[in-house]
Amino acid sequence: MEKMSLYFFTSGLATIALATALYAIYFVSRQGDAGRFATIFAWIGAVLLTGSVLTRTIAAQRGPFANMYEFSLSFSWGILLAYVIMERKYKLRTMGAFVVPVSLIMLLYAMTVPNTVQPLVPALQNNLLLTIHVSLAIVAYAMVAVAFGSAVMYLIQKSRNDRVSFLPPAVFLDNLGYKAVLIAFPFIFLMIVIGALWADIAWGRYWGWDPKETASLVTFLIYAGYLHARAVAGWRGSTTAVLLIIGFVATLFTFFGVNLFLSGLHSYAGTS
Amino acid sequence: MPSDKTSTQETAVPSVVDKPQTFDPLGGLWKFLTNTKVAVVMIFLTLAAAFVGAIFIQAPSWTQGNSVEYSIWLTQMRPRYGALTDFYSAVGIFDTYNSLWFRALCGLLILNTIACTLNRLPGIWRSVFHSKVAMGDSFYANSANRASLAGRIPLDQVLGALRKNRYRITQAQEGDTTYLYADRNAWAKLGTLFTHLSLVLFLLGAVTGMLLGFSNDEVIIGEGASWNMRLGYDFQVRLNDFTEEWYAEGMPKDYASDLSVIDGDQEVVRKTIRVNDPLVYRGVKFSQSFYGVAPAVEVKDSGGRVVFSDIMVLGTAPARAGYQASQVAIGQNYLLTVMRPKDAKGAAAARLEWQITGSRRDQGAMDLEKPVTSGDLELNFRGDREYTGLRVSRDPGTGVIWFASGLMLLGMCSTFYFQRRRLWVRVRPQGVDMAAFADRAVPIQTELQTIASSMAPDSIRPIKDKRQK
Repeated sequence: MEKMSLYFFTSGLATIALATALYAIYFVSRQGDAGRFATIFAWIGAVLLTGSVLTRTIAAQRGPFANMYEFSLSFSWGILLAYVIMERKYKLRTMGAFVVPVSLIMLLYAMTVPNTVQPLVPALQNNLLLTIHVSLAIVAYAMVAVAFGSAVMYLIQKSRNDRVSFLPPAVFLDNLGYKAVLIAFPFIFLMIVIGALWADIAWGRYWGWDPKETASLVTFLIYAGYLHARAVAGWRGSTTAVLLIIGFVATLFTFFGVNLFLSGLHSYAGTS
Repeated sequence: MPSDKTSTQETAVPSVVDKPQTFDPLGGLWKFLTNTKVAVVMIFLTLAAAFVGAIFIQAPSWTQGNSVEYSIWLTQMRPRYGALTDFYSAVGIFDTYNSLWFRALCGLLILNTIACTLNRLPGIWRSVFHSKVAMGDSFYANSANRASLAGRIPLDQVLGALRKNRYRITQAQEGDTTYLYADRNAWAKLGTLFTHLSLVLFLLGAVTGMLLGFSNDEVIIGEGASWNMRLGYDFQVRLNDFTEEWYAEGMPKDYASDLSVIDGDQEVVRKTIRVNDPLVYRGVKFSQSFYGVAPAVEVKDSGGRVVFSDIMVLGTAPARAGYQASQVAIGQNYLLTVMRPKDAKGAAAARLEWQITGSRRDQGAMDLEKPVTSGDLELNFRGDREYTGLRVSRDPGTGVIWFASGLMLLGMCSTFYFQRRRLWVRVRPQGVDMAAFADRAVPIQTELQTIASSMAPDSIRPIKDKRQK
């Protein structure tokens, strides 16, 4: 099963690389065929990654949530799945050029870290909370990636005064990013709360300003700022789009940066 | 805002519209605190401050309130932060989350939140609970979202259509005109109160924990030894046994402390705790935190009475280069220090160097189970023993924290996912007029048309509005 999961992973990676290239071609050349194939490959990639996640789960007898390889695989899968569903729902193929590469980068990163199934260290031996905590993060990060894609497209569309024919109107993109955050925000919050609950059980305190805790709080506050900037202060458009990009960078830092560059209680999730 | 231009203005004729500016610091403060732009800026400032704490390495907990430990730690940081190290230290960057400026920012943000919420409360309250039912002609004629039906439509049909769309209806009668006010998801407007109230509760929970709770992150108990829980509790915790298991891959698999609680000379609880399975006794939580191995040392006085017998964890006291040391007070007069080279193995690990300071000075080395005498003391190195490291804590604020979390989630979901819609309907013999208001995300005009169509018998079609696209 572990082998099978790796086969799924490799074929998924290749497919998504192809999809990324096709989305890029579609974005630049606006060739309908490239777009159609990009979508097909993205779906195949999503199916293959689903296979990889499932077989990995069976092999490890738990969710693939225990080390950097598994996190990257899971998050990549979540982002891709969120994207293909969004694309279908909103008929929005151009966004692939911005979101699918994120999924690809996560997979490429996963290739560089050890991929053997490792047993759980004592701190992680709480299957229920581990599964909930990381699942919430997957959904949150996937939606945040979608918001990021909309923000980038928004800025492109805006700078050309809504004249980019193959992109949706700026107002629509602004709204789409907002909608994605409306889903992501409660998930980020709940992920932090479940993490705090777990920390209270495992470490004897619900909050300790551990780098991972702090970074996720910063991410939460950035999106809180975004929501307030929109709803209360009435900011729209480019400023809030930039906030979405900052939020996404903060999310990536929370995910990669903290584990790799800072030591803390979450460092078991690192590469070693 | 405070201003000193007041005196000249006060002599002028007071006008009703232009209220003279008086020096009003409270009003100014209120204005500042209720400014939503200030609130947004505050969020980002707090964010930046928290970010500073995440980027800079934070001084570990054992250095807090211990200037010797702190200066040792600071020395280790010098190569990393260079000439600015002392500056960072002085402004509290190495202890961001306990620093005055960070606390002040958090406090100000909370104050800001309370003020903004209170400021909006009356408006929200009015809009949720006290909406005007009867509206005049111009309201129906000028509302951005409206629909009209010509001809007599039975009131029941109108009410039925609104109820089917889950609107709550208030009714008022004026002659042969019936006014209806229909509201859907009005309660969702209270969501924002919930989220902001929960922020205040988070603070309350944290402060409760700080004031009424305690936490000792580094309680070390050697195998067979007991630890006294003081702070008004007066019970003991004994480590009966410590076990650790390793995976074949070399990662820790399990570590567990078999603990007994002794209260009033009796063992009242016995439990083996693990990282994910703490022991709670009388509200005090014992969490498995770390573990290790340390030399056990026994000290007897000239009468052969044991005056000290416990493990001495190396690396907890200053030592010369390449060595690790531990220090303990023996009675009133002596300070005993033991040390050994780092990572000592074999014969080197079976020997401890010792030093006595205080009312006299002496030093030497002792081998495993070979007692040595120094003045009126007999020192004996009993060998290395496993110890467990526990976090002992009590936090009466956690309940508030979980309640606040629930409230925040509830508030968030009602604000995000339940959009409010309000309809004003006027039913007259000559027809029905409707005006609608809703949150931005609602396609209210489309919904209004659908409701209007469902009210009308087939013979009556909604009147097309010229202004519609």
